[in-house]
Amino acid sequence: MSVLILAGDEDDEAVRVSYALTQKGVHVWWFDTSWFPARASIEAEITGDGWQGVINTPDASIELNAVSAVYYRHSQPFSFPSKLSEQELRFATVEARFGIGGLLSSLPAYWASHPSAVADAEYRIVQMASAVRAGLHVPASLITNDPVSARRFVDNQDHGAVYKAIMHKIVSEEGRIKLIYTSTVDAVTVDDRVRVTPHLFQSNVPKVFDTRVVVTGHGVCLGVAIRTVDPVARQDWRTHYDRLTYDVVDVPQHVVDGCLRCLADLGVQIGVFDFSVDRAGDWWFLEVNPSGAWAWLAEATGLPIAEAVADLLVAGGGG
Amino acid sequence: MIDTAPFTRPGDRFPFGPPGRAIPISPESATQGRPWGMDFAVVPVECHILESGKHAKPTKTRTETRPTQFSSDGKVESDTQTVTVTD
Repeated sequence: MSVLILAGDEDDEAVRVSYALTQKGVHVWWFDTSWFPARASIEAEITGDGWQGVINTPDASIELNAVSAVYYRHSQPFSFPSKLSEQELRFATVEARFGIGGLLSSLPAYWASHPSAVADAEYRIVQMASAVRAGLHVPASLITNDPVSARRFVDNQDHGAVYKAIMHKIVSEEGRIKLIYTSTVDAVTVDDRVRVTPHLFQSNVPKVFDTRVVVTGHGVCLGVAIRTVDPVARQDWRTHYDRLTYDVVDVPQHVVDGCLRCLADLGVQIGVFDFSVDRAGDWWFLEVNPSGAWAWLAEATGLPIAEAVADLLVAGGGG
Repeated sequence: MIDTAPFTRPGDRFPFGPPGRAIPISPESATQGRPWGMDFAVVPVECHILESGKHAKPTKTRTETRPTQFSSDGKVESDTQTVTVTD
């Protein structure tokens, strides 16, 4: 069988999965969409069996009808000549998106996971609703652009409240890059600028540690506890990676079951779940990323995550 | 490139990944009326962990100048584009 990896050529997770597949004797093709059009070309014709043809990359000629499974990671934007006008660039982009995207999406292959399902699942608000349906515990949450409601919600939380960006966690201004982390909120600071756009407020979980759990659709669940004594890093571990320790953690069965129901509900085959675990041992769902990072955790703990993903692709692809 | 459609359809997004993952560097300053949540944006702390391994940090936010090539009258020419990328 042959597996197609759609990922940036330096994607750590994809590199590991590619290696694991190769170890299993599976043929791997790799297509980084940023190679198009300078370093890649396509050629396909519609037939009675669907689209037949090839994607030519710097390393190989990918035979579309031979692809059994696809591992889809963060595909990179196409690289068009920057000298194109804005309208020319828009034309080229849309045509490539629907042309190459359509060609790939039409493949009768097993996807982990399909781009459309991934795109849907990346709506945090959708994830939260799915998690509730799946029986996972979700902290009290409010999405609003009403500052009065926001202040009332913040004041009513026993352990305080936090603000989280819904999607746009990167801010570029004054020539610098900034990130929006999970941040504690004081009600008196909530002002009328909340009216500009929806804001997400959540009860602050009195956590002991965080976990990142990789779950696959065929039932593998691998969890890592992320611990720190630093109060800032404990609020959001992304603020200080240098102050974290990692260890393998057993995921309670009811949480595993909830994650699997959530994956099925979202229509994705892989989910990278984040939970906070409180003093009572309750696991609180924060989010699930269908394309989340886990390579550094596999490296730190030795967990066979790449092997699990490879097994999923082989099984799904009929290998 | 950011997709500015108000409600992006999943099929439209392929193969860009989620909006906001690659955004252009902006020299603009904050206005008085900017969304309240943007006040929480901070410059990330530089990370120096797991130096022995390739996966030095799980969330990479970097500014990169991407080389691009294109064919002009049969001649391959180079150009660049500057974006901010986070993984």
